Parts: sequence; structure tokens; C-alpha cells
Amino acid sequence: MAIAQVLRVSHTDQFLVERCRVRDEHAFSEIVARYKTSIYNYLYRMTSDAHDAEDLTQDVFIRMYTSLDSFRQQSSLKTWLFRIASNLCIDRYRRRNKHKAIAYSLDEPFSDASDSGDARRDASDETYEPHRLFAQREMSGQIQTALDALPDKLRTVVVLFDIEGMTYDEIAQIVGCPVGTVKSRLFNARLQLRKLLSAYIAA
Amino acid sequence: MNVNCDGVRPLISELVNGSLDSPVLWQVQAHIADCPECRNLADDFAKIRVLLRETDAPGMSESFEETLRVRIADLSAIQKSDEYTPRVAKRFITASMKYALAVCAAAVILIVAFFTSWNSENAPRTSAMSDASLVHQCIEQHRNDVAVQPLSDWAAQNLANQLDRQNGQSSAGDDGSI
Repeated sequence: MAIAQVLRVSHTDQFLVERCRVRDEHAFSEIVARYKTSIYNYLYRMTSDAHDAEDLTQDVFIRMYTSLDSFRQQSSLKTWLFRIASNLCIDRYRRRNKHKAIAYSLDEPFSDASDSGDARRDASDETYEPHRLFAQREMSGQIQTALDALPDKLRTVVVLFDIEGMTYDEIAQIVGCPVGTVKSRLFNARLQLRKLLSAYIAA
Repeated sequence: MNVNCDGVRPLISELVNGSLDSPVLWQVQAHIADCPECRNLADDFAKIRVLLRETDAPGMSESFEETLRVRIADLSAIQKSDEYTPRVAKRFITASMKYALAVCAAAVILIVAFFTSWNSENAPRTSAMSDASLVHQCIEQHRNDVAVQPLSDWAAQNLANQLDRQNGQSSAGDDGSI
């Protein structure tokens, strides 16, 4: 009871992390409530799959729970959580690529475009048809499709900056690259999005 | 700063973000005012930013926190059950590993020592005996066959000499046949 009262007053991440380290469930729930939506949104933009995004979001908080002892608070809790999420995304991407390497034969023609996974696999600037897709989907779906067509590194930066509203420094910590690289990737991501969404932007 | 389009374009993204410092900002703004292409690029970047911020992700399931709570509880239970086991297991494994390594090392040393002594004592003697018995067999065979085919080549002579030396006899007076 006393702890709960303290938590209502003091909501700094540092305090919550310290309480989590002693396995305080209230503090853990507070952190989850604070960051679950932004983590989930980021992961949804990266995976384009609500179910996967939710599973990964849970994995992020479980990883946080099990790795709190290694968190030295040199970066903010938010940055750390997004870094975990980013790493989990990379792991998932690698696993999926490995699986694809086994599952898909090079001899088989790409015929079933209705499979979203296959469509994403072959999406590129040349094959991307914004006019047809815009007619079929809602605005969010259109933009998500454009985001899917971006390389992972560019997508990560543009999602973190433009959707999650993070700073260059925070993104550099999450991605693990210099700030200049973040700026460059953001510029390139926007250039590609401009091309992919040209019809929509002009309208 | 390069104020042509190639120099300004990479900065337009930062202009849209509002992260340019004053001197550079003024130069970029001045360029954009005179360059329709760069102005269009800046407008498009701004639109993209707005579009991205307006997009919604599908909502999370209502059972998210409950599922997470169950998973955390399971994890905690596993950790608690492992608190005792790994410590004991580590001690056991460490102690048994040391013991096993010591036994293996001692066994290897004993085996090597045994074979070394066995070879030094038995192997040469066995070899000599084998040679002598082989020579003896050959000579006996030639002696049995001498009536049919006298053996006069140098190899038979050597064999006969060896047998005679072993028997304490001299074959100097022989005519070369056995």
C-alpha cells in the first residue's frame, strides 16, 4: 500500500527501475503501462503484423524484467526498451530470412501476390504500384505498405523519428550508429517514401 | 556552405525537422525560396511527416497485460525453482569434473608408463626370438630340400652361417651348400 502511494507520487523511470529490481510488481506494471503502446506501435510499424507486434512487445518487457540487473541507466529506460525492441526485430528478421531460405525454392515462380509475406519479400521500387494499392486500402494501410518497402535500417529511423518523435541522439543510441548516419538514413527514407507515396502526396 | 541544390537537399530533411542552426537555416531557406524543386522536396517531406504521424496502428488486445503477467509469473516460478538446483548442480558438476579429470590424468599416466616399460623389456627380446626362429625354419626347410635342389646362392649361405653361429658350429669348411 505504501509503495503504491509512493509510485503515484514519484513516477520517474529511475525509481521504477529500482523498484523493479527488487521484483516490485506495481513498478513493473507501471513501466508496462507507460511504454507498452509506443513499443507496440514501433513494433507494428516494423513487423506490419499486429499479432507479431504484440508478441514482441511482451518479449520486450520480459527481456527487461530478466535483464534489469545489467541496465546501468546510462541511457533512459525508454531508449533501452526501444533498443531491446530493435534487437528483437533484428532477431526475428534473421529467423524469418533463414526460414525463407529453406522454405522458398528458387525454381518456383512468384505467383501468389495475395500472400502478404510474399508480397513484402519481393516489394521493390520497380514493382511497387501505389495507384492500385491506394485504391484498395485505407490511408494507414497505404503508408504501412510504403514503410514495408523500405529497408529495415531506413524504416527503423523514420518510424522512431517521425512516428515515435525521438531525437537524433536517442535513435543513435537505439540503432547503435552515429548521429550523422541517423540523419542520412532519415533523409534517404523520406526520399524513398516520397517516391512510393508520390500519388498520395500529390493528391 | 554549398548553396546549390546538391548541397541543400541533404539539409532539407533537417529543415523540416527544425534542427538546423541559424546561419545554415537562413542559407537553406534562401535557396528554397528561389528553387522550386527544393521547395517541393521540403513540402513533400513535411507532408510525409504529417502522414506518418496520422497513421494508426491496430489496437492491442485486451488480454495483453494479463498474458504478460502470466508469463512473468511462470518465469518467476522457474527462476525460483532454479535458485537451488543450479547452485547444487554447479557444485556437483564442478567437484565431479575435477575428480574425473584427476582420475583420467592418473589413468593416462599409468597406461603410458606400463606400455613404455613393457616395450622396453619385451619387445626387443620378442623380435630377436622371432628372427632366430624364422632363420631356423628357413634353414631347416633348405636342408630338407637339399637333395632335390642344392642351395648355393649367397642368401642361403648367410642363413646357414647364422644357424651355425647359433648352434656353436662353424660353416667355414662347407662347400656353400647346406
